[in-house]
Order: sequence, then C-alpha cells, then structure tokens
Amino acid sequence: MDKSSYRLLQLLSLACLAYRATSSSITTYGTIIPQSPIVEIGKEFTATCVLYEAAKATVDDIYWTCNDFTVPKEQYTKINDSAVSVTIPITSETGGFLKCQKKESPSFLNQNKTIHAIKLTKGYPPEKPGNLSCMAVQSGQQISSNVMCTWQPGIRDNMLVTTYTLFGSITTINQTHSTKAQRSSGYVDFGTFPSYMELDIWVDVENKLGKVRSDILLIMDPNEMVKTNPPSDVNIISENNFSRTLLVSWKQPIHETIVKLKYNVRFCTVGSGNWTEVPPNDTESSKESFRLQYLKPDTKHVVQVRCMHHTGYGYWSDWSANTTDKTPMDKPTSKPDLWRVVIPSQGNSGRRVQVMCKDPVESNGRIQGYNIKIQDGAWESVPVNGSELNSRSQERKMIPLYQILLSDKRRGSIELKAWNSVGMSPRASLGIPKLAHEPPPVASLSSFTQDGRLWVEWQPPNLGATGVTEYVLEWVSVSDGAMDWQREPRHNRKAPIKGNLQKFKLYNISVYPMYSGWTGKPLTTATFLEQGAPLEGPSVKLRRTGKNDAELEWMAIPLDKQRGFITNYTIYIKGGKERSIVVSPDTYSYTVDGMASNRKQVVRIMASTIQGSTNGSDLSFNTLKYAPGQMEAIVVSVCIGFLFFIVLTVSLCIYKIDLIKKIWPPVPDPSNSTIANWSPDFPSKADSPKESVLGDVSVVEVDVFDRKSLCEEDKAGLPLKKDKYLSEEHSSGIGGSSCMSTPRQSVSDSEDGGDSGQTTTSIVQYSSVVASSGYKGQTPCPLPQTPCPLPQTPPSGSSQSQTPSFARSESTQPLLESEEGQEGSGQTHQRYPRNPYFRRSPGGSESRDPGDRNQLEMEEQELASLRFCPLEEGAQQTTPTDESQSPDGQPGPAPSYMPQLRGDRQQC
Amino acid sequence: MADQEQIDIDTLLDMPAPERSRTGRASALARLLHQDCTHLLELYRERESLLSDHTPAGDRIVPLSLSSPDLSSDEQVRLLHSALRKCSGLLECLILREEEEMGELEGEYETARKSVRDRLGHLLHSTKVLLETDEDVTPDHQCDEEVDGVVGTFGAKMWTYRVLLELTHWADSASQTLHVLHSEREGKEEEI
Repeated sequence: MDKSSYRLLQLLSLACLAYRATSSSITTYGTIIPQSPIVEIGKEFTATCVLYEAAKATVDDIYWTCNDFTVPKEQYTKINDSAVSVTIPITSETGGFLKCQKKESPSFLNQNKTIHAIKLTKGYPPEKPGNLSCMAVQSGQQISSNVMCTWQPGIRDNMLVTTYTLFGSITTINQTHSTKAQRSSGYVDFGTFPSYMELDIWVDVENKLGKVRSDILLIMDPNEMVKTNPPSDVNIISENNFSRTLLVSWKQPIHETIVKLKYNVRFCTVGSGNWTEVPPNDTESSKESFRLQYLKPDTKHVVQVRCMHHTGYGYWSDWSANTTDKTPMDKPTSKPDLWRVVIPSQGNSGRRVQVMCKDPVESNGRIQGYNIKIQDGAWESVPVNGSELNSRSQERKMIPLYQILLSDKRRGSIELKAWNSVGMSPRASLGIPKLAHEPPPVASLSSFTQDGRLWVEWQPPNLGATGVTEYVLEWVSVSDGAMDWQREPRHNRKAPIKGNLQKFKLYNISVYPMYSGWTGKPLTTATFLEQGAPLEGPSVKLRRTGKNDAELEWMAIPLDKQRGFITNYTIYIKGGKERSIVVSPDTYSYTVDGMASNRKQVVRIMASTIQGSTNGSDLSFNTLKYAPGQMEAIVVSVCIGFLFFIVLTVSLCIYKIDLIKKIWPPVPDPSNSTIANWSPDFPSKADSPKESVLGDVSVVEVDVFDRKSLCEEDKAGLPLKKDKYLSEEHSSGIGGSSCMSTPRQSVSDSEDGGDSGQTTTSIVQYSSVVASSGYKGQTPCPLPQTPCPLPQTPPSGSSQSQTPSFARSESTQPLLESEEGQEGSGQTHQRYPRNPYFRRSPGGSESRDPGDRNQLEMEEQELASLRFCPLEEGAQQTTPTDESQSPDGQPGPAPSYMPQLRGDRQQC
Repeated sequence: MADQEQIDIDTLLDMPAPERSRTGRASALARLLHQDCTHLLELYRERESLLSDHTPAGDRIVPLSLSSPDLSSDEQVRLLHSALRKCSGLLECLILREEEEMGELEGEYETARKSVRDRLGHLLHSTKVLLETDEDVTPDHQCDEEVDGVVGTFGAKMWTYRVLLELTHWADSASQTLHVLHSEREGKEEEI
C-alpha cells in the first residue's frame, strides 16, 4: 500500500467516525440510570430507562434486552409515562449490554430502535482474608522492621480489580503503617521494629463491589512473631572422664534484650540419621550450653541447635549446621560374640574347630585384642588389628582367632575376653559337646522372604526348649563360602537374617540351639533371598549319536550362575518337527530317540527356576544314515552273495565247460606266451651257425576259420607286401604287438576252432614258423626238439643264404588269424594283436568275400606296419605249412588254427 | 563503664522474664532502649575517636534524681517519664544539629540513632500508659537552650557525647525503675 492510499483510508475512517458522532448527538432519545454499573453476581440489578421527547414513544413502546435476549415484561416496572425500570438477576452468565429499546411501527424498515444501552460489569465483592499471620526475621543484630504477613485470600475469583492493603498499627502510640500487598502476602515496614509494643495488623481488601477487612491480628509483643537466626558457634566438648556425655555450647543469635530465646538440641550418631531430641523442658532456659548424657562411648555424634522466643510464640529458627565430635572411649561393657566352625577331619576321629568372634556390641572403643582360653589351658592373648568400630552392630567383622583339633569323643570349651585401651570386656564362653552327645536340634526349620529380607522360622527341639538359652542362626554362602551368624533370644521362633545377603545366591542356613553356652546339633536348610532366571543355560554335548537317537549330556550350571533352584531342564530338539522334553533337575544326560536318520538335528537345553528360564547354546549334529553294524552287515551280506555267485559261476563253469567253450572260446593270453630258446637274451645262440639259417623266420597267424591256405595267399600277396615286410625280422603272435615283445614262434592249440578231431594231443597253432627259404620254395628243414633260437637280425641281403629254422610258440593262446600269409614273401613282420572274437565271427569270415577280406587284411597290415618295428630288409615271411589241410582234416584254405602235435611239429 | 552496664544487664536477665503485661513490656523496652543507647554511644565513640579518652565534665543535662527514698514507684515513673521527655528533646536537637552539619545519612550510626529515637518514643508512650494519666509524650526541650552555648566543632561533639551519655543513663534508670515497678505490680497480683 502506497502512502497516498494509506492517507485516503485515514480520511475515510475519520469521516465515518465524524458522521457517527454527529448522528448520535442528534438522536438522543433517552438514558439509562445508572450508567456503567458494576453488578454483583447473585443479586438483582435494577435499571431505569428515561425517555426523552425525541424518542416520541411511551413506556409501553419500550422493551429491554440483555445480551441480545429480550427481558420478559413481568420484570418491567412503569414508573411514569417516560420512565420504566427493569430488574434482572445477575448470574455468572449475565453480561454484555443492557439495552432500552423502542418498538417502531411496521412501516419502518428498521423496526427496533435503541434508546440507550449500558454495559454490565459483573463480579463478586471481595472475600475476607483469613489465617493472617506475620513473621519478623532477624536482620543483623536486630529484628527487621519489615514484617512479612501472609493470609488466605479466599477461594473464588472476584472477577474485578481488587486491592490488598496490609496495615500495621502500634496501638500504644496510635501509629499506623500500611503497604500495598499481594493477593496473599505483604510486608509492612514499621521503621523500627516495635519491640514490646502492642500491635494490630490487618488486611483490607477492596474492589468496586465493596471493601472487607480481615480479622485484626493482635500482637501483645511483636517479639513473639520473630524468627531469629539459628544459634551460632555451636561447639561440642568431649571430656575424657565422661565417656557417655558431650557438652554442647552455642551462642545466642541475637541479644537477649531484644528477644529472649529458648533452645532445642538434637543429636544422632554419624551415619544413622535417627535424631534424638533433647526434651524441650531441659533447654527452655536461656543457657548457652547443654550436656548430652547416656551417649555411646567412642562414637561420633552430630549435634544441632535451634531457638525461638522463650514463650513458645513465634517461630523456631532453622537448625544450626552439623557439629560433630566423638565421645571418649570406655572399656567394653558387653561380651564378645564367640562362635566356632567345626570342620570334620577326614579319616580321623577328630574335628578341626575354627574359633571366631565378633567385637562386643558395646566395645566402647577399638578392640585391640582378645584373651582366649582353650579347655583348661592358660589365657592367651591374641592381638588384633581392628578397624574403627562401626556404630551399626550388623557390620561387625568376624575375626578368626584360633584353630584347634578336637577329638570326636572329647568335648571342648572356649572362653574369650576382648580388651581395648581402657579395659577388659566381660567373659564369653562356648562349649562344643562330644560328637555323639550333641544336644538335639530344632524340630523344624523353614525360611521365607518378606519385605526384601530373608526370615528364618524354626520350632524348638522336640524335647522341649527348657534347656535352650538362645539360638544361633548361621548362614553360609554356598558359592563363595562366606559365612556369618547372629544370636536370637530363646523365646524367638523366627527372625530376619541381619546380614547383607545377596540376591540370587544360595545360602545354607543353620539354626543351632544353644544350651547354656553349649552348641546343639544344627538343622540346615538351603535357600535364596530372591531367585531369578539362570544367568546361562546348560552347555550340551553329544555323547553318542545313532541312526534315530542321540545321547546328550550337559554339566550343571555353576552355582553362582544358577540364581535359583533349578526346577527342570527342557530339551528342545529341532530336526524337522520341533519338540521338547522336560527332565528332572538332577538329570545331566538323556538319550533322545525318535529322530529322523541322516538328518541335521539342532538341540538346546533350557534350565528353569521358578523365576524364569534360560536357554543354553545350540548343538548341531547329524544322525547316522545307518545304525552301527548295519553297514557291516550289508557288506558281509554282499560279500557272501558275491562269493556265492562266484562259487555258483565256477561250479557252473566246471559242469558246463563245454558249453561255455562253445560260446566263449578261450583266448590265449599273449602276455603269458613264451617262445622257448628264442630270445634275444641268448646272444651265444645268435652267433651260432643255425641262426643264420633261421635268420628269416616269420610268425604267421592263421585264422582258424580262414580256410584259405596261407601259403597260397602268401604266394599271391608276396609281391605286394614284400617291400613292406623287408624290415621285419620277426613276427610274433597276438602278444607280439610291441617291438619289445619277445619274438617267438607261436604254437597254437589245435583244440580250438572246432577242430575236435585233433584235440587229444593237438595244440592250436598260434603261429607258423616258416623258414624264409621254405617260403621261397625250399623244403623246410626239420626242426630240432628244442625251440629254435631267434636269428639275429642279419645284415641286409643275407637272408637268402641262411638255412631255415623253426621256433615253437609256447603260448597257450590260440593264434587268432593268419595274416602273414597274405604278406609279401621274404618279409618278416609284427602284427598288432587282434581278437577274432570281437572282430569277426567264423561264419562272418566265411561269408565274407575273399577279396574284401584280403583288402581288409591289407589295411590291417598297413596299420600294423606303422606300429611294429620294421625289420631289416631281407627278412622273409614265413610260409605256413599244411596249408591245404584244415584243422578238421578237411582240405581247404589254410586254417588259422593249425592243429599240431604236442611238442615239435613240423609245419608246412 | 561498659563492663558495669553489662553486669547490670546480666543482673536484669537473671530476674523474672518480662511477662506479657504492660509493666513487663515497658521494663523490657527500657532495657532494649538502654542497649540501643549503649550501642549508639559505642558507634559515636568509634566515629569520633578523639572522644574515647575524654570524660565530659559538668553536671547532668537532665537534672532529675530518682534515688530519693520518699518517692513511690509511680512517682519515680512519673519523674522518669519527665526525664525521658527531656532526653527525647535533647535527641531531637542532636539529630537536627547533625543533619544540619552532615545531611541525612543512612549509616549504621544513623540507623542506631533512629532506633533510639523510635524506642524512646515507644517508652514514653509506655510510661504514659503505666501512669494512666494524660501525660505529654512530646519532646520537652528547646534546642536553642543548650546548643547556643556550644562553641566550635569540638564543643558540639562534646555536647553530643554528653547527650548520648545522658540518654544511656536515663535508659538505664528507666530499665531499673520499671523493673522495680513491674516486680511490685507482679507481686501484688500474685498476692491477690
């Protein structure tokens, strides 16, 4: 908004106000009496409307509204033709404007016209203050002239502006002082505190509905409303000859001519907080000292003092600050607390007795030592390094004094005195009866917890408690062995344990009846002050696992972590379906069954007390797939079965050997074949002249099913293969597939190949050893009985001049086929092994076209030539003999298996 | 002198404590006034250290005597009241003079001086009540009477000193007189 617009708005506002003021001054039709009234809630209010002539109306045309609600006609009162009054009750809801209005004729657009209106301000008259009291405090060495007063102002809100005025009048001199005050307190200043002058003090409360004065507080002596400072310089004087008294002195806080005071003294021992107040009558005088009596010797005491006007009117001062001092020492005035712990000796018929004690309750100073007397011995002095005695007897320390060995059959007596720097205590005695003659124990013993304390309840011995003089309650912490005891009078049947027991710790509590200083047999119970859930759960271990079960074991939770009596253990098993097993608290191993085999199992154990449970750690393991021994049984069964099968098979073979042989002819194992006397290991024979003759020896395999004469084949194939086999010096049987194999002449067993006619002595011919000369048309020479040695590899071109020789194969394996017969003559070569069972069947070989077979064999030979070591050139292919005779004696092609006589049989 | 006054106070303190009676309160008030006067005198001595070794010479400013054996207690109280009025007048003159010289101060001496003036007025009213007559309680002294004769500052201080001593004396006399009166009246009441 710019400046010109703002100024325009201001001018418009002023014009409106001027118009309203002008019009109101013109249209004054009447007035209401009274103007701006303050009306009191709960009372009636009457107002009168006076009409002016300008109103042009009569009182009949007038009606009243209050807060826009029309007041009923019944509340109107016509005073005259121009005045009418209305009376309305004032309530807390009443408010707003009371209007005198005129009814206009219907022709007027605005049918109602306000003659006059007044605003009603409602409220309550002031309430009378009550409980007025005043206090004058000390200021320096005088009483302050400014007196503070307080009062109760009333409970309701009077809703109007209210003033409080505090008045103080010295009536003797008729001098009044006043001060504006707060709603409930105020100060009035007298200039000088009007000691010993009569005073009147009151409070005036005023608002527009009235004024009220409190009751006048009449004070005969203003000093009686004084609150002084606390006494100063409080001091305690300890006097050595008075061990049970302390002299307390102080100084008055204000001169006695101003206020005469009385005092109040209280004291307590340090740390107790239980104040003992000296009877007020003892300190009513204005003395500034007092002697406290019947105190405890050698004890620190705290003293405080306060004061007030000696008449008892007025106010106590605050307590003075703590003043502490110690009463002098005195000799012990009570017996030491003598007790013992009996430790049975193992193996011996004796007891070890640990004598212990506590300082006397009234030690009256630091105990410096004890005098002890065991049995009838002399008094022995046992100095102790005692600490400051605490005023609370519960905290007296146990002092182990002496240890004695006492036979079970002997009774013992102990006497004890305590001494401090001032003197000796009364004597305490304790008797230990024979083990077999201990007086009876209490009849029953139980414990319970109440208000955070452990209570022990017992019944006297069955024989009657006549001999019992007192009871000793002894408690021992099971976890750490800490022990303590307390004594109870003979008439007590229950008592709280006064020691500082700890929660969640197990205590063994024993009650010993005492018979005139002799201990009776104890009765013991174990208990907790408060139980809780165990701090940790059991740690479970797996002792054994099976197929469907597992044996678990766990250790008991350590005592300091049990925190309560174990009520049970719960075993949780999770291996598929989760389940739990609850076992007794004395169980530490358990066999869980019903588990699935070969499955992971998770096990944990939860220990429970009455206050809660705690889980242990999880243990995972797998159940076995087989039960122990099951695998062995299976293996044994399988082995037995296999053995049975073998036996059965062997038996079958034995009985059905012929049939088997038909189906599965025996195959000679080349690895087991040997060529006797034909080994390069005989160099002397290689040098013999015969070797030159046998220089070209070939091993020819003869297919037993191949009826074709090898000789013929050789003759036919020689020209083709000659070059190939020039380098081959020897050929071997089936087993001679390697260059390293020993070259020998194969000797076949003639029994195979269906040649049943020559079985008795015949041997299948595995190979034919043919002298190279024979191959070349020369007549083979007869062989000696002994196998021919293999010829040394002759130099090239020397084979033609060598005499043919024969070698015999000792292999038991049949010669599967004779390929050499198809090779070129004059060449010796090695063939890679072939198994005729897998290569071709006899029938197949017969049906095969010879040309194809030859081609195939040629291919095989080519392959063999790649694998076999080449012999020197000039080596000749051996020529098979008897090529025209089949194994069965029929003529035909040269059979592969050449039946031959045992031993040396001439071939070809 | 202070020691003697302390002994007197202790003696009085050993007496029966002031009751809530008028005589008792008046007696206690007189003792309090005496203490205030003593305190004021000490403060003045501290302030005017030159006067500590001086003893004012001359007669009493208020020439009245309560020691006559023929006087009854009431008559002694009446004389006392008269003497206290003169003391009140002297104190007013003293205050007027000091305020003229040093202005209106608010030190400890001035506070004690005001306290003495107020308590002296209280005691005058109390003795008037005890006398049960329409005695005047206004200060009975024209300041010009004595002050005019004082020459110089030292003389003025000596006069002030004498006035304070006079106040202390008459406060003490009032204390004892009223205490006797209180004792007599309490004794009569007990007999009744």
